[in-house]
Amino acid sequence: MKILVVDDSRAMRAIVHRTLRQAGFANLEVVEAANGKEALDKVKDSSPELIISDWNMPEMNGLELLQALRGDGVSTPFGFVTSLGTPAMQQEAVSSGASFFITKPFRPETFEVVLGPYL
Amino acid sequence: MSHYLLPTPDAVAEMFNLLVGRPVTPKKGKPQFIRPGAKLTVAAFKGVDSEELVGAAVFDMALSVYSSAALSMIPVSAVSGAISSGALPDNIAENLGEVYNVACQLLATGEGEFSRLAEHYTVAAKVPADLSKAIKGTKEKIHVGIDIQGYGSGLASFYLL
Repeated sequence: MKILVVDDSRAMRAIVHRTLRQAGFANLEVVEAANGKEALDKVKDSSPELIISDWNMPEMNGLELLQALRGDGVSTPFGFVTSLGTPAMQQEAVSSGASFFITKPFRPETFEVVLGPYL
Repeated sequence: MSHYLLPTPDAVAEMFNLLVGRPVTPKKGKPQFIRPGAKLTVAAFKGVDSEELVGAAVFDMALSVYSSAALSMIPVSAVSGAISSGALPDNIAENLGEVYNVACQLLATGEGEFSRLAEHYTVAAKVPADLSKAIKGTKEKIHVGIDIQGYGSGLASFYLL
């Protein structure tokens, strides 16, 4: 299964990858992008089956990425992993089509429970 | 403005533990002083939906370097020189931004309103005077020692402004 991890922090992309393994999701092909704009290209090139994205990023943020994908008719499950998780942001994410919202820092157990239905 | 709360030492240690993925132990902390030449890093936090400063964090150079290195599993031997020199390599400086970005969660209101990272400084001399003054003047603060297994110990201080 192919996953796209979108975060402007290289370290955080690696941590998401590590946490996926710790959560028991071992056989994944992880594709990375450093911002929403780059992610749009990766979605076209790689056709991921799940997208995990940060919210605040340069060029194009995570919410803009989600809205662009849904506007293009891409219905790939999409969720946020972000350091800011206010109720208003979560509502906006869900109403834009997000499937889940995980706040940093996170536990492998959280990934297991939240991402399990998609992996 | 809602009143923000200081984190407990255990909450600070847990944040580092979750971030770096290795055991972290809280220890006794002590105050740090922002002055030109001091080897420390500083972060300023604002309210999520406001431009008002609500808090700050100060890490000594050891915690700044150890936590940032542990984030990417960079060997401690490769970064120990940065602690004594006070000059952060680019990859460590980039990771430190992520550490402070996540640390903003430690300053939140009882109603769950979070702070956000507004700016961080890796050189004490670049910390704005008004921020230094606010940090020095507040009585709402907590000092914590943080030991990251396999890396080492450093100091963290959190302030409400």
